[in-house]
Amino acid sequence: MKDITIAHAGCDEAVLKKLQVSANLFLGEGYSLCFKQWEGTGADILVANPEDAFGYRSADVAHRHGVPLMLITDHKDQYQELINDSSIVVDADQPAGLFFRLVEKLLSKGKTAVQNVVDIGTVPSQQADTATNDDVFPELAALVGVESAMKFGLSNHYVYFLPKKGVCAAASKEDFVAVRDAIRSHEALSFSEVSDSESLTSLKHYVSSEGFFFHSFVGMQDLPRFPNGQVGLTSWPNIKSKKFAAELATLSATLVVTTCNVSDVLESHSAKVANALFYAAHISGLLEVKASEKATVTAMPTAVVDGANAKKHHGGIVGALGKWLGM
Amino acid sequence: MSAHENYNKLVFAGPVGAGKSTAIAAISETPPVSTEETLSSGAMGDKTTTTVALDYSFLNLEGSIIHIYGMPGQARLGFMRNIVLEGALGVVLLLNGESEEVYNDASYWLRSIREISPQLNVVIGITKTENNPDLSLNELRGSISQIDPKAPILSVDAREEDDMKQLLKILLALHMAQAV
Repeated sequence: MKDITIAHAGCDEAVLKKLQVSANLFLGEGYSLCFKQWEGTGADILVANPEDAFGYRSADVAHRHGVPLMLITDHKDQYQELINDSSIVVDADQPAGLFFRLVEKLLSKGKTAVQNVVDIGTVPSQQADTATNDDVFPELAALVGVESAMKFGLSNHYVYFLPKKGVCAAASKEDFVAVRDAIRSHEALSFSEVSDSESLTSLKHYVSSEGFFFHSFVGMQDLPRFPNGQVGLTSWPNIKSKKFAAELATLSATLVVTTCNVSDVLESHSAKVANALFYAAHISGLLEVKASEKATVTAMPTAVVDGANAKKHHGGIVGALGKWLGM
Repeated sequence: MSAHENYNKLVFAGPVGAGKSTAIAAISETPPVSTEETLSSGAMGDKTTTTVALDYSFLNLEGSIIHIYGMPGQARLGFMRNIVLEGALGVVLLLNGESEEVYNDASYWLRSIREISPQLNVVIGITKTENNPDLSLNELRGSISQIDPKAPILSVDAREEDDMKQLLKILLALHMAQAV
């Protein structure tokens, strides 16, 4: 029996029931269908309601990455940007039998695409594939690898990502906070390239890009685990943080001089901090991701400063300083 | 045991106006000793005086004394740098992010420190960055790429104790990473 994963996003209960009926029909075809909410990983098909914010955002990500897409809407004209050869539009009132046929059709259409599709974000298990440049928190995938300035945010709050300078800018601190909160709550963000003619003089506040993204991610309860692989930092990340200063210092001190296995880092340090750092550095172009079939485990110091150890080697000065700094 | 092995100094370095005296005061329990003179070239923004000798302060940490020095920014006092850096645990290099010379200052000061002490840990604190549209962190990284491409750079406020402590935490992490 072949396993097929169908992700859904923003669909109401009636549609989910029809999809479940379709799943039962597929059992007879020799397929086992697994339904799950869209998490940004490589589903075989995404069924999404674009009238729902999460549904639209998920559909947009799936569309850009070639995941076969079933759009549940009777306003097809409003979502032309999501429609291509690998997508089908159907309104929610259609019978379950039609859903079955459409899923069958999508599987056939997307066969090649599904085989080639790159997982675009979350990797829930430790056996995840090695990260590629396309692996990123899906909502912000549009920012990875860009060279020109990008504006992203909500209808009335925007942050400007200026990759050449390595900074994010905003007109007010409130804009930073609003967009950060939107990222944390997976709200739909708009992205647009900043044209040469657009004046940036209204931007009054600047922070390092990795600092902005780190603080956005580290507060997330459901930040996906960074894809496994060997990673290192190409430069020291400029992240100001009172709360996480010690962990950031230790992680950065190691990752700027050597590459480490993501799993090992997440297990030996605060996973929350390390995971957020990986994503922030990745978007900001500071993370070097090495694809390797078998990771070479690099020993990581598990504590910033072991007071006793430091005392033994440095006559108490370093240990005392570490204690004073709260490390 | 020589002074080098004691690692009992922290040094704040950087050009005039970067915030060295302010930074030392921010982490000191008692007011630092310094010799301030009115700037001969007139005020630089809010800054009207400059340190003409060394800033000095210390931390008494459960009986362990850590001496804190501000390295003079003026070129004519450059001869004192060797003395100040001897036995240092590390250097906090403060640069003024509002200065047009920040990129040149970064490479000049980092190179100067490296010439005296190639293995010494250095962390760079950039002040006055938050409202500065002209500063490019990547250009700054580029300016030190030939000297120490992975030197830590952190945007800080020299008046904030927490910011200064974060710089010291980075120094300590570098020191411990070397020791592992």
